[in-house]
Amino acid sequence: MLKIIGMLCIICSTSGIGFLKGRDLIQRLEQLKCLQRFVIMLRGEINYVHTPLPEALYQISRKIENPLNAFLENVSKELEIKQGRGLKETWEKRMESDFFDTYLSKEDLEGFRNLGSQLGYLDTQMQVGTLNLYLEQLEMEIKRLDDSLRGSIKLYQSLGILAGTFVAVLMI
Amino acid sequence: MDKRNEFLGIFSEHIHTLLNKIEIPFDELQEIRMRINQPIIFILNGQENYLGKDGILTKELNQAYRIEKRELYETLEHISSYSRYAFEDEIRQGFITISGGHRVGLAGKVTVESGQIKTIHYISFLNIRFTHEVKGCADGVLPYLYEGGNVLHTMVISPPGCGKTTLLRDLIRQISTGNKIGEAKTVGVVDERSEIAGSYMGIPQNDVGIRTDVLDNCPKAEGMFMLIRSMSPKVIAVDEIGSLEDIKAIETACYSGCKIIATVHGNSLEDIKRKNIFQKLIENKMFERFIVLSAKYKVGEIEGIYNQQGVLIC
Repeated sequence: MLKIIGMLCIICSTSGIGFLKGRDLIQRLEQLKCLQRFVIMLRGEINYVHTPLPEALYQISRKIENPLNAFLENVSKELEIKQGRGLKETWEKRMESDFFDTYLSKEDLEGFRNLGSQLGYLDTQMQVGTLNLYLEQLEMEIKRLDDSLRGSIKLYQSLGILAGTFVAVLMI
Repeated sequence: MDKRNEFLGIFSEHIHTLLNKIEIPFDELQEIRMRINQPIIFILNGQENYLGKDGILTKELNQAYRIEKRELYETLEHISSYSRYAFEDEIRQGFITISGGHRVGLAGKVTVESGQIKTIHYISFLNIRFTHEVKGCADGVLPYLYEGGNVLHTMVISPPGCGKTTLLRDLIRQISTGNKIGEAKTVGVVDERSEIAGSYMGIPQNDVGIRTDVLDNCPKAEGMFMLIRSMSPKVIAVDEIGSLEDIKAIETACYSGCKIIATVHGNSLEDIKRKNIFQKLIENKMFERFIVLSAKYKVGEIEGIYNQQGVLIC
């Protein structure tokens, strides 16, 4: 009896891990889309209104979801008080503290970190060009993830159940 | 943010640390000049001082701290609010206005396209000029600028650096808020170089009165038309007129019932009469008062006030 309960627990937990992995993928997709919305809004602020970054980041932080809203607001505040630290350093420092709870991959975070080092010192045309390039990369990643999402979720879920079943069989 | 932190905030981290050790006399501070690989020069009451390696102001060149390229670029990053794109027009004109209404002059490698300046690349020279409001400096001239409660069309003539913008700013403030001579009037300011109101993100940093509307960073001629059409000012103030378009816009503004207060570069009324573009304005007696400034004994000294006929009245 105890063995059966143990086997059921194993199957449940490995299946749970599979489901969680699938959910992580959905969350990553959502957060990539959030980055995409941010870049589109920033491009608009730079291209049409020429809003300086501290103000633009603050404005966008009011319209965007977590964790990006807290990050943007903090960067904006730190830039406003000007402690002698540049945008790149402020961006990187805030990423370390504000992006601890994220579903984004290491590569996604690296891309976003690079974006911070390319903001602020270019003219409008070049700045918009930089944002467009980053936007293209984001779009490609979103599309790739979107296309494989259904399959990947199914795969993780099935693997979870199968792994649990396999261990359970070994226990018999 | 207080004045000191606001001031320190525009410098790179290392210079920020050096300056933190100094008690800066802001009232005496006129300019800070920064050039790559050269000492940082502070001009206090007309006297040059170098920023020392140990965070002191010194007159010894061998103790002076020399600014590196990276630091100047960092400083520029802070000055442009980390948004070079937002200051393209200003950079093209060679200056950026920062919070507090202070102006930062820029020089470096100029990029020209079709004969027009496109931008300044490799900015290697900065001149931070500090604005000082002198409230009340227009008290002496105000009684001569009113007739029957109305402001008269006035031209302030002065060589560079004699305080014409400071006088204009105080005139605007007093006319807009109200003074002992006349009642308050709505004033429209076309501040092409952000010198009068010292606007930062559209908000005047200098006191220009409570009934003043400012078109910041706007070409004078177009700005005057825009103000007349949209803000119905009683008085329009502009700094440093000099082009044919400016003169035409002033004529139109005069005929539309607005009073004009303008400044112009020159040493005397005779100087202005000799300039072709001003001849028509003077012949038609558009301006009713001419204030001539000089800096013979002190900056902002009134050398004379003339009436419509060019007769000295004070």
